[in-house]
Order: sequence, then structure tokens, then C-alpha cells
Amino acid sequence: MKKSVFMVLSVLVIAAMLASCAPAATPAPATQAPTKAPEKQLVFAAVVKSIAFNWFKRLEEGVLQFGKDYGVKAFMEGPSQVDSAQQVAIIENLIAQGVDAICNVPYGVPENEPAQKKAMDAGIIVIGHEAATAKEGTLHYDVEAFDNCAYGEEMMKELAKRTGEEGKYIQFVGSLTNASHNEWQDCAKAYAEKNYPKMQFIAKYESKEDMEVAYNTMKDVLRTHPDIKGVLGSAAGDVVGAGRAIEEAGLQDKIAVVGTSITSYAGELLKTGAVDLAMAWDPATAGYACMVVAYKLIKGEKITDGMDLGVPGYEKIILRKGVNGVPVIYGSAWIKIDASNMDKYPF
Amino acid sequence: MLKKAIRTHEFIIFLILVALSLVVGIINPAFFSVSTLFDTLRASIVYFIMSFGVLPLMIAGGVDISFVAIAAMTSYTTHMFLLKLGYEGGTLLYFFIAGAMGLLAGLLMGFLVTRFNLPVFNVSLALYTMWYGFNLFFIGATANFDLPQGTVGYYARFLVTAKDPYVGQTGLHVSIIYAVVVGVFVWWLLKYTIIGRGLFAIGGNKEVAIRSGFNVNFIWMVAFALMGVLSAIAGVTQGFLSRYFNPVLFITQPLDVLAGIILGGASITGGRGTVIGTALGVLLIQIINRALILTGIPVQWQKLVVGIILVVFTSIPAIRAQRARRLRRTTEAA
Repeated sequence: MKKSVFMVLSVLVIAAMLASCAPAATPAPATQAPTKAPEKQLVFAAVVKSIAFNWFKRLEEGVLQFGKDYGVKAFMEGPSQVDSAQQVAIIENLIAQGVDAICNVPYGVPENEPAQKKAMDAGIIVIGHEAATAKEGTLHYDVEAFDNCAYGEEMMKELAKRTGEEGKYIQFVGSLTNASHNEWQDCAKAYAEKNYPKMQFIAKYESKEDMEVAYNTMKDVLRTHPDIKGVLGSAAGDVVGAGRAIEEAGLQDKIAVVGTSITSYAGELLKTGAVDLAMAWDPATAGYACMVVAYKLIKGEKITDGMDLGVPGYEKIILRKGVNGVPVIYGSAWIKIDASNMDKYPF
Repeated sequence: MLKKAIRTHEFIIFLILVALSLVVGIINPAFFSVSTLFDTLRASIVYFIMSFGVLPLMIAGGVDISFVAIAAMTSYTTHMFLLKLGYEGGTLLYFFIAGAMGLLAGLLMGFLVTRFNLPVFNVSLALYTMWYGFNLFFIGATANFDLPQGTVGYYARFLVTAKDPYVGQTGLHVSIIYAVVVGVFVWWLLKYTIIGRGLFAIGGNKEVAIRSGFNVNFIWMVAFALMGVLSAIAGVTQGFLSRYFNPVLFITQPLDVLAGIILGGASITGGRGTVIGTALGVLLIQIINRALILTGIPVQWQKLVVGIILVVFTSIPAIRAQRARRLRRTTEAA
């Protein structure tokens, strides 16, 4: 009985797959399941918040490029939805498989710490990305494209430039436990308080990394604060959702939208002006740099302040202790994308 | 007659909706506007459609969570397929292809449940994972923003438009028609067809339903097919409304949708549930979500508040049922 159930199920599944996807069949994603590597070849894994984001697809390109350049078996994994629990499960799997290094981009930093520590205890090099607030001993190093505070301030400067340094503004973060998002926005807010006394902070909203949530939230913000002047976004979809609501309200010239995003998300809205400026770092170089740091550690090299990682934007790194004790490597790798230069950043 | 209507669960939910709206509106008068109504309806459309699809199953005692995955799989696969063909036409073909896939997905699930007599929830858990995995592995893992020319602008096709001083031009989106048609159809199915009566009978007591001569397997199949088709329609509609197709569409939503249906008075163990109640439950969840922003309750509170409201509201039917039982017992004793 059981056997027949299984048989029927598998036949049906295969049939359904063939029937529905044959013409659209794309090659299987390059992240094939990590099999035990042949001897001596190093195995590096990148773990991301979710593989369902273009952003992390781009990061994967950097990871794969690193693998090619350095002769390392490098691949990326992540949950299909943003979920710390699933991410932890993936890390535990990688520990069991005995990879040499993990580059982790945690959704919730604290939730990922125990798993990271476990990996370190198992002798794995663990590098974080977007996790500068991790506790001491839960990462060997954290790699950041830039100092988060400087990035948040830069975002605020760009916003203030467009609102005439005055008016109400709101902020979006992907989640209230996301360290980087909150650091950007808190620094942006602090910078505004100090430098733009006429700018008024309204609230920080959670988009759950979901454009629909940002869209619906923005609509209600427009109702509650009709005189809103500025929006800062953190997750790549935040400015897209907010920008859509603003565009539908015909307010693209009255409200400035500045935030982290990339061309594949915000391109259309950058053209119409609903989103004014997308700021980002190239996830590919970040992923690449993360891997390079792990590689250097495995080869016994020291990471020092001012050293060149050989990755664009990371030619002269700043090494600093993070707030909770993890050593953090900062590059200076932010990029600003607007309607005029978006063709240069096709990701 | 009126007294009976007032005692129904639907009426209580309706009162709660009105009370909540009043509170929000008093705190923020901008809430009382046609455009808020239109926006809330717009955000609810796909949840209406999905909920109406899941309701018949739940009435028959089957709890499904795979409907969100069917919505994602059918809409995303259809989109990527048509994109590859260079399709530049309108929305109709999307609905046909996705609907057909949804039908097959529903029938597959129905087959597994009826042929092997498996619990609906177990099968749905497996298929939930499978359909999302199917998207991510075979079709693509990234959101796609390239819409065919013929569908561009669909997101702003309104039946009635309203000029709002705050959010500008907004309107009652045409896809509300789908929700209404689907709602009326499911209402008719439940109330006036032998299949509908059968669904209630199965949910009440399956053995009795079988002995009463209902073709239980056939009725199950219809319910699953309906769920599959409506999920697909919801998925495609959402894709056009939000202007991109997402391989993990709705992945965090199944419990919200089920919560709406349960708030609307359907019983998770089957035998109870109405279209009107479901629609009200969906609206209630939507308004709770908006209320927090409109009243300026800090976001940090959002989850807690939604949780508390759900606990309170879902207890109401249970408390009422308990009281009714006690009443019955005392009258029987007397």
C-alpha cells in the first residue's frame, strides 16, 4: 500500500512537472546540493536570508566567481522565505557536511548566533555579512560594504537634499530585528536631528521584506500624514512598495523616496521619479569579499586595518570592533543609482 | 426572523468590524473615506478569492494550507512560460492557463486524499512545500517584474474612481468583480446544490454522510478542484495588482487566510461556515492591519495586538457554543 502511494505520487509529481514546465525549463540553479568535496578542495558556503530575492542571486554570482578565481568549491544556500529558524537549520546542515567556511547573511542576527558559534566550535571559519552587531565569539569576522552609520547618514543627506531639509519623513526596515536596517535608519534619524532641525521623524515601519506590505503601509501613511515629504527604505522592496503607492497618488514630485534598492526592483519607478534614489552596494562584491576573508583566514593570513582584499570597494578596509565585540571589516563600497545611471547596475 | 439574524456569528463579526472602524475613524478621521474603503477592498480581493476557495473544504472538515502554494506555483509558472513565448496580450490567457494548472493541482490533491484516504492537512503540508519547491527549483527563484504589454496598467483599472485628498486617485479595482462572482458562486454551491449539502454533511459526520448516500469522494474532488482553480485566480490577480510575479507569493500568508475564515465563523473541524462570514473575517483581518498604522500604534506592538485580537475573537464562537451547550443541558435536565 505504502509503496503504491509513493509510486503514484512520484509519477504524478513528475508528470505535473513535465506538463507544466517543459517549455519554460531553466537549468537547475547552480547551487547543487553540496556533496562531500574531493580531498583538499576547500568547500565554502554562503547562507543568505532567502534565495528568493534578486539581491541574493547577485550575491551568488560573486560567490561563484570567487569559487572560480580561487579554485574553491563555493555555493550559496538559503531558505525559500525569510525565516531565521530555517536559516539556522541550513547552517546546522552545513556543519554536519563539514564545510570549511560559511559566510552567513542572517535575517535576525541574534537568532543566528548559536548556530554560528556551533559552526565555529566545529572548526569552521564563519564570516558574517550584515551582522555587525553579532556577539563576540559568534563570528570570526563580519564583512560590511561600508560603515552602516555612515551609509544611513548618506541616505539622510540625499533625502534632505530633495526635501529642502524640512518636512515629515518615515522609515521602513525589513524587520525590527534586522541589525543593519535599524542601524542605518537610527543613524539617519540621529543625523537629521542634529543637522536638519526642520525635519520631523514620524515612525519606523516594518515591511517584512514584502513589497505589498510596504505598499499598503504607505497608502495609510499618506492618509495619516498627508503632508509627508520623505521616505527612507531599507529592504530592496521597501522603496518599490512605497513608490508605487506614491505614484498612484500622483505625488511623485512632492515626496522624496530614497533607500536601499537595486535596478531590477526599482528600475521602473526610478524612471518615473516615484523613487528618487536607490542606494546599494553590489551584493556580488560583498559576497566575494566575504569569501576572500574566509580564504585568507584558512591560509593563515592576518586581517589588518587598511589592507587590500583585492575586491572593488574593499581596497583599503577599515577594521573595527563591533558594538557587541565581533571584529568588523568595513569597505567603502556604496553605490548610488538613479534614472541617469541605472544601466550601469543591471542587477 | 430579525432576532435570529442578530444572534448569528456573522452579525457579531459585523458589529466588531463597525466598532473597530468607528474607533479608528475617531482617532484618524481620514479613515472614513471612500478611498480607504476602496484600498481595503483592493487589498482584500485576493484573500476573498482564496478564502472562498478554501471555505468549502473547511466546511467538509479538511484543513488545507497548500492553496497559497498553488497560487504561487500556477501564477509564477504561467507568467514565466508566457514571458518565454514573448506573449504581449492581455490578462485573460493568464487566468486560463493558471486556472487549468490550478484545476490539475486541486485534482491531484483530491486524488491523494480520496484514493488513499489520507488526512487533508498532511497532504496539504506536503504539497505546500512541494509547489514552492517546484517554483524555486524548476521555474526560477527571483521575482519577475517584466509584464506583457497587454497587462500593463491593469493594476489601475477601476470600476469607480475616487479622488482622495491624501492618496490621490484611487478606485474600486475591476478584479473585485472576480471576488463577487466567486463569492456568489460558492454561496450558491453551498446553499442550493447537493454538493453543498454534501459538504456540510461530510463535515458534520463523514460516516453518516456516506450512509446517507452522498458520493463523498466526488464531493471532495469538486471541493479540491474549486480550491485549486480559485487559488490560481487569486495568484494571477495578485501578480497583476502588485505588478510582479513572485515564486514565493503568499508563502507567509496561509495562517492569516485561515484565521480570517475562522473569524468568520467557520469551524476548523467542519460542518459550519458561510460565505458572508468568511468575507467579513477577511475584511476584519485587513482592517486590523491597517488600524495599527492609521491610529499610530507603534509597529513594535503590531504582532502582539493582532495576536490578542485573534485570541479574543476566535474564543467568541467557542464561548457561545459552550454557553449553548450548558443551556441545552439545563433545559434537558429540567
